[in-house]
Amino acid sequence: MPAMFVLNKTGFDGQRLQLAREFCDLTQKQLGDKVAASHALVSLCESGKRTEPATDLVEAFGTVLGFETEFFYQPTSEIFREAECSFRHRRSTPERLKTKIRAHASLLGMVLERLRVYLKFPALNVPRIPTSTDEQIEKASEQARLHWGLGIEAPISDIGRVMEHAGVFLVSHLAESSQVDAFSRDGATALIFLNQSVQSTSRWIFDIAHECGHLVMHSGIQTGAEETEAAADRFAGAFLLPRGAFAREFRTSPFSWNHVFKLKKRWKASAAAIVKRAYDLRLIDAVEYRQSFKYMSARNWRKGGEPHEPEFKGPELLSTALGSLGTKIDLTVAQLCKDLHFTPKTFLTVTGATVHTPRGNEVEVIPIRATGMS
Amino acid sequence: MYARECYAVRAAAEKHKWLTILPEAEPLRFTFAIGTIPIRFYRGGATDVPGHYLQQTFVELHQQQLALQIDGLRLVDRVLRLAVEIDATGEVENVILVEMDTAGTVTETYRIPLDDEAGKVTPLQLKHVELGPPQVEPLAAEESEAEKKNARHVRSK
Repeated sequence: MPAMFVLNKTGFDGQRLQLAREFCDLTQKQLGDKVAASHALVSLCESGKRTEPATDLVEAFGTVLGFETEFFYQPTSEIFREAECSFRHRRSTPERLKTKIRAHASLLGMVLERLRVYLKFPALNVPRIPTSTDEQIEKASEQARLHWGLGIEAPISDIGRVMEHAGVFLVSHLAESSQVDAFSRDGATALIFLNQSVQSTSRWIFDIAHECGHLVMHSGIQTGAEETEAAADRFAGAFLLPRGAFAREFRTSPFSWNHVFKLKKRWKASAAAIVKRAYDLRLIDAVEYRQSFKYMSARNWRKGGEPHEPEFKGPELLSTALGSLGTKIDLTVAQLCKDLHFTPKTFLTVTGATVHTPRGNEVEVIPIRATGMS
Repeated sequence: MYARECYAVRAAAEKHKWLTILPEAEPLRFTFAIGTIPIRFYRGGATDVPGHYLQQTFVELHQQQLALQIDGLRLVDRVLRLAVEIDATGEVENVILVEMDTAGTVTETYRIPLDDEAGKVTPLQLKHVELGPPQVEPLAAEESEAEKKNARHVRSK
């Protein structure tokens, strides 16, 4: 007999179906084929034109997509919209991958929203500074540094912590694709996704600074255009390598790779970022700049990673919060998973955390012994 | 003597990245920059700046603008000169950095320690900014209730 469930009387939410489908990277037709329904019916359910789909159909959606049936009947407060999201490498990133990452991030947002009922996270504290010129971007990076008490002279030991202290969640498990470097979402739940499939810690650091630039400068602005990406790059360089202190230290020795790597060790920025910054500040000329990038490409540093990579601490906020479940607060990971109506497998994919079900509920599997032919 | 000093500064500029010779239009003018800061020098006492060294040249003004853009240094109303004081035999006795306002009034002087090696001059390097791990604390019971109500309110919108 199939398990019975009590429906919350808020009604079926088509947005949640679309979210779950996009999270599973399925088209409406693919989902329809899996649940023996037409793609038109799936479309009607998602758009809200079919307000009360058959219970067995909703149950089938849940089975295929990895959610309990009740998931589709919960009210939704926050779905990450395209306009709120910035993708690094956006133009070359396939639309479907971006949609999947956005859906994954929205589900993570649901987890965080639920955790906020029990836990106190750092409040969102990002200065909003619109810019239009390079000088304004330089000033915006300095204002952001001052806003977060970092000063405008010293290297930042861990930019991830700066963002997490500012209430921005860092996550590193949303996708394993080299077609997107980083992603950020501006909203009540601000989030930066860091793609660690690219094995370069200095690049991760720059990616976080780049996304930080979007959060500071491009609130409410559609990003992805060449101008906004160039502005975020300039912000990242200025934030990691503030002009005054960096220029002073850069000029202490003639331009050489040895000097660049000494600066890299101290400032935790990639050699590429240091060279670009030196060019932006006219500390090297165009010829030196072009020759340097040609050299870096020839050495495959740009794609394969640079030598002397800095130490990098991973995201901490989400893991600390999940780690406190069942210890600091009464809510366990299994209860949280149940509250959200995710299956344990989906919860693992969304958060990276394993759901340990109570022993009594575990399904016992008795292995079938192979018997010899007599 | 002045030409010899200019030559020495030019030679030093080839060795040290922080020292540059600025391109003056007038052949007899000689202006250099330490980092982004423009400086001219003259022979004479620190409190007795020759009249034609009181004014800023166009190159100096341009360089000051760069200093503001790159280093954020506001030197618009300050003029820097190096006074090379010599003794009766013509030997250099003191080199003094003279800071003046735009009216030519000396506001500060700094003696350059000639006995110290140049290598001792290093830029100030601030330590890294270190932050502790972000804190996540359980909400008090009443705060938790308020959050639950708030979540319900947001959903019902």
